[in-house]
Order: sequence, then C-alpha cells, then structure tokens
Amino acid sequence: MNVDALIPAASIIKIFAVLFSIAYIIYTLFFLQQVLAIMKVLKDGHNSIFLVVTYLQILLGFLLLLLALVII
Amino acid sequence: MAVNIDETSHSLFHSFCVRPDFSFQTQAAGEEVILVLRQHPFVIVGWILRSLFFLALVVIVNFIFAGFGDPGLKVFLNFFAGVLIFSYLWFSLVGYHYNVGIVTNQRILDLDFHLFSYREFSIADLSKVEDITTKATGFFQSLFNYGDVFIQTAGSDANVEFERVPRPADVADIINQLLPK
Repeated sequence: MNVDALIPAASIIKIFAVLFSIAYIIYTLFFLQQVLAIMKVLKDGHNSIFLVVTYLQILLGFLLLLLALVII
Repeated sequence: MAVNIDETSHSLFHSFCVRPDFSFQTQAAGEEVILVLRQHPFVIVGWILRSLFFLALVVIVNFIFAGFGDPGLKVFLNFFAGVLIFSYLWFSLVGYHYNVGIVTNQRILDLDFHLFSYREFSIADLSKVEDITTKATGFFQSLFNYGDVFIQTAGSDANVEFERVPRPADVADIINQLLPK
C-alpha cells in the first residue's frame, strides 16, 4: 500500500495544523484565567511557580503556531 | 497517638500540612489555618502511566511511519504530541495542587478546582459538625493509608467530603480536637 497517497495535500495539513495550534493557545489562555482566579482565592508559596509554567505553556502554543506556519 | 496541631509539619509532598504558611480569600480575622489537605500523591501514578503510554504510542507511530511523509510535518506532529502530553501532566498537577481541603480553628472548607468551573466551595462551621466518617477501601488505599473523610453537619451547612486524602484517621482526629467542647 502506498501510504504517501493517503496523506492529504500540504495546504490542508497546514490549515489544520494552524487551527489546532490556535485552539491550543485559546485553551491555555482560558486555563491561565482560571489559574489567576484561583490564585486570588488561595494564597500559598507555590503560586508563582504555577503561574510561570502556565505562561510557558502559552509560549509553547505560539511556538507550535510558528512551526505550523514555517515548517509545514 | 493524637496528632500535634501546634507545630508546623508537611508530609507526603505537601498533601498533609499542619499549620502551613497558607491563607485564603474569605479568611476571617483571628481564623487560623490548622490543616491543609490534598489528594494522596499515589494518584499521580495514574497520570504518569497514561503519559508514558502516549509517549510510547508516539514512538511506535514514528517507527512505523519512518519512511513516509514530509519531515516538516513529522517535526510538527511530534512537537504537538509532546506539548499535549506535557499539558496533560501540567493540568493534572494544577488540579491536584488547587483541590484542597482546609481545616481552620473555626470551620472546614473544601475547594474543588475544575477547568470549566474554577471553584466549588463547601464550607462547614465547626460548631455544626455532627459526625465524621472515614473510609478507606481497596488494596492501594489500605497499603498507602489514604481514603475519604465525610463530615456531616447539622442545619443548612453543606456536608464536606475530602476524597482520597492521606491519613484519614488523623484528619478525623484533628477535626475532633478542634470541635467546641
């Protein structure tokens, strides 16, 4: 079986990759909002670590979008 | 032996903290946090196993489709899979950290953190506590000494439930020590 023939056109893959990346960024932004909200309720010594890694995740989302736009 | 509630102590990866450096938004003046509870660290094993499974799946798929497809697409898909696995672990850890049970010298609070409804607060006044029940069922709960604590209250206060917390008998003991005589 020729597997390459099953792979859709590059433009379609690119559109889906960009859409998935944007969906991931929106999801992480929503998560950040929830984390910020809960941090107002609970105050403990680890809040800043949780905030930094959540920001890092948003950064990963943008990196994903960049990869989708540049590499594919 | 009764748990000493006068000295600060943290055990089991901060899942059982006596008198921690911790405060919350609705804390009243003079209200002291005596105990902060999270789920037993054993629950983390489930996420790690699931993540390892998906990681292995990614490796297998890469191996099967080694000679096919665009290299750029492969880099993207691998990165995407890695980000998703990391996110799964991270969201689980945040959920674990902010799902807390708090026992103060005045009341008992249970905060559940969910992604789509960030908080679900149950509060019970210590003076209204009627009954405390602990339950540890199954092999792992008995082995690692964790289980559920149900706090039943009188009147309109909500019943509070701490799920899969470490040392449930000690939790009940601490609450009993704090109950008004």
